[in-house]
Amino acid sequence: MNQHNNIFKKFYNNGFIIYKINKKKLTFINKLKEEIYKKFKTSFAEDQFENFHKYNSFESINGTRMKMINYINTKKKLKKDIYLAIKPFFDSMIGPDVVVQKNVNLAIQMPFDDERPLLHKDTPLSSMHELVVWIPLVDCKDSMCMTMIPKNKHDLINSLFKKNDEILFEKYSKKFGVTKNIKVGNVLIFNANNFHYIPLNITKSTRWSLNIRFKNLFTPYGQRNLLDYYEIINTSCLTKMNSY
Amino acid sequence: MNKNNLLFCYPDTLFNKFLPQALQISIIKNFISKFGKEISFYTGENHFTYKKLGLFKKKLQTKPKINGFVFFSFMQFCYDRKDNIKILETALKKKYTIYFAKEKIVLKNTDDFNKKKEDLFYYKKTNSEIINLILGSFTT
Repeated sequence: MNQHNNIFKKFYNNGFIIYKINKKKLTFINKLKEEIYKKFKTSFAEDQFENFHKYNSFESINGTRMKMINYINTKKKLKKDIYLAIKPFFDSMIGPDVVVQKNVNLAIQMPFDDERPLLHKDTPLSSMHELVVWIPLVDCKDSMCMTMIPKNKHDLINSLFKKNDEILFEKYSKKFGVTKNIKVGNVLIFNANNFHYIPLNITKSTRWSLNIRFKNLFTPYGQRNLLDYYEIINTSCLTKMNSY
Repeated sequence: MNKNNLLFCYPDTLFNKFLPQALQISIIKNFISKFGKEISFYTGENHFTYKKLGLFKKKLQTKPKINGFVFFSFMQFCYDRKDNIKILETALKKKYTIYFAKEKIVLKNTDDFNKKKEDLFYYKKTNSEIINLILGSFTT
């Protein structure tokens, strides 16, 4: 129980948490990787996911990624599997009435690929009440990981945006950001209102990750709404009872 | 033209101020082309019919020989105080397919409808601000 409370305390203080998925709920990750590998065999040249950059160029990567995104979104159970894997956290954090982003995103960050978003937060396009779940498909260390800015530094970062100075973004991200190594089986969960930053991957491995967003059905929406962007993934008995 | 590929189209009259009808039609055409469908005819609900989708209901009664109906948005079913979801169910029971271009949703039958009915029902409840904004901007 203490460990359980600790997670929420950490999340409340920082706006993000690394959450360990129960082993029994983990199989979907390996299954998905196998399916991607099988479908896009030629892109892998029989090598590991981490070595993807050895056989693919910066120019071709986005086209391949888009095809992979279309493919993984044909997997009808994927969103449910992700939801069930993190359900103990969701139940306490956002309750049983949950909407999920309609499409799962896939990010592939090859070493030294500079095509990446700068320091940013997802609100107000996304809701303040939204949780972003970042799921590594390979073990991520050092610059393969996402850098999170703890909540208590947000006022400072907000003031930087008035100056709109990219060099300062980099400088402060490095100074105040928290970058934690994450192995497959753990996920990073953060509030959409949290500043985050993707460092340039200077490791020798390609970073693979999924990202997907969840929120309570009845909390305020940003500029993305139900049906367009979200769909219901779970409802309480009472919510079902009062539906059409 | 094969009637199985034809859809009757309803752009959103109330949304014209934000997205002109020509652009709505373009988005609709692009969406339905992915399913090999074409528009057979289009018409918008008017000032007297938009709340209860009167023209759509009337068309449904004539049992047109088409595959189904395409709407620009599900929001068109949310302009009345009462729920208009039942009309959708009626159309599906008559074996018509329903398409919503903005939301990229296709309802082929009542099974599809049953899977989506909670989303449809709670859409109106969770989007009252934007629905009221659109209703408020529509001068009759």
